Amino acid sequence: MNKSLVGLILGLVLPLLAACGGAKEVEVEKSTPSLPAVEARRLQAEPAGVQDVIDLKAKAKVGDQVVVFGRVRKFSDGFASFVLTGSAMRHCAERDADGCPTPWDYCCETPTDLAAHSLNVEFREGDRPIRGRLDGVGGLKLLADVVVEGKVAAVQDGNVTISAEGYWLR
Amino acid sequence: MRLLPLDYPLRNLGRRPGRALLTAGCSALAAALLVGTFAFVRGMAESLERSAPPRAAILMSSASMKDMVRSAISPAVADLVVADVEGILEVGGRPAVSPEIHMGSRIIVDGRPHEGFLRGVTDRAFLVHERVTLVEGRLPGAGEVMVGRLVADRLGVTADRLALGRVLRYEDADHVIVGRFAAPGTVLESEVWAPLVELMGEARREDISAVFVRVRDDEVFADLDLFTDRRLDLELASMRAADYYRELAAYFEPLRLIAWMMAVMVGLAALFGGANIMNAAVQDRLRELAALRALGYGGFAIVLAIAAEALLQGAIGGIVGTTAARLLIAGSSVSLAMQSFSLRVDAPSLAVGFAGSLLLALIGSLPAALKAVRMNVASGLKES
Repeated sequence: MNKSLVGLILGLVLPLLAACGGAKEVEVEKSTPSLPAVEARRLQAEPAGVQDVIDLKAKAKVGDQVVVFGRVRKFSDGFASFVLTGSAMRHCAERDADGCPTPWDYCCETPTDLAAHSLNVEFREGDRPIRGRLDGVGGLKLLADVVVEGKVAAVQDGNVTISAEGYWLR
Repeated sequence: MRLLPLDYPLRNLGRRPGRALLTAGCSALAAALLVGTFAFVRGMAESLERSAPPRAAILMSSASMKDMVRSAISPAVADLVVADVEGILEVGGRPAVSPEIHMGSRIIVDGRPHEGFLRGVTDRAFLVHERVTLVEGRLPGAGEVMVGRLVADRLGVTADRLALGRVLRYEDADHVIVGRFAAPGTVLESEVWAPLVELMGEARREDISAVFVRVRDDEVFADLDLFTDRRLDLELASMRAADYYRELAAYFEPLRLIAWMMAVMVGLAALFGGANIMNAAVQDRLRELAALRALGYGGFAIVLAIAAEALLQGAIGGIVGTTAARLLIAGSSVSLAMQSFSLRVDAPSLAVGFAGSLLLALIGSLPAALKAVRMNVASGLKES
């Protein structure tokens, strides 16, 4: 087979193969999410009487007015709620700065320790948390240092839920 | 414009049957391979994606890295989620929530060990996994199991060894097969289903792998996620079942890519082979083609005739190749990791095979057609 024949076939086939490579993903520009009912609760100054998560969980009773400090570990998918983890827990980036692409999952800690040092924070209207996702709202992001002021809404089997009335980003 | 009669390319095939047969053979090979590759790729992806129950979530261990086999959660989760979350679908007045164990195990059939996949279930599994239908026998009780239609392929044994009444041995205990189930187009068919509580005892487990939950509408997925955040003591993660199986399918993406690359390489080989044969066919008929040009047939008429000849051979090859693929591949299954799936030789895969053979024949004929168009008529007439 001569060179021009090979060239012609390759010229016809290679563009077809290239076309089969799949379309590039189109990057969608993300707009900053907004939940006014949550943003309105951002405090202008850090509240006094801050406790760590583990200390609060030890004595929390439903209805207690509390101020608690921790880090955002996980946002709820569909509600204005997040899991706050106490400062005694160290995420993987704090242990080994280079290694971990998802430090917010605290995979270097045991799940049991992590559960003991975590509580749930909800921004509510009435008895229900507000619909929406908090990631990016009012400066809240994963691993953000947050002081939450609010009321203990539920205590069950070692789990504590705080209904947030205000928050301060350290 | 003057065109050559339609029977001209048809009669040309009969003039050199050996050569026509070779070209059609190339097309048949390409068609069969395309059908096989398409059936494999679709079978793998769709079997996994169809395994997800409709509008369902999976609650599993947050530490399991989304691996149900590694997941270990409290058996109480199934009841807790029903109590705490509104919007769970009810089927026949019962919440569609299925606690399950997923595990690989050494399954002994007639004294020979095989790697298989076990799913420990309760009768509530049928409220969640709608595609599962008992096709023979009955549901298993203590010391009994039911097997999917692809389990024999998965274990590499003949179907009669998994007939009702035969015995499977795993986790140091014998289990009588009392049922056979179908779950068309899913990987569930390659699993052995056993009573949950009994499997927990045999596997010495106090935990289960996951809880499948079907919901009434999409908003309830958020409630399930909130449930996992409120019940941190349970160490749960919630995931939509469709996303779980889609991610599982994506895990096999490199395998799909390799399959397509092999198909492309064999297709290229068929393309070059076919092009070479067509080129030789035109070379042998230069005098005849020059005569046609001298009689007033234009270059387009010649190109059309050569393309039609190639398409005819491609069509014959396509029919042979797709028929062979249908006969040889349809109904067979492939085992990957712990599960098996059926190869989907259906209308789309046959259409891809047939269209592919036509396309390759058409592309393969172009160099020969160009050669015929470019030739000098006077010197062509002098060719011996």
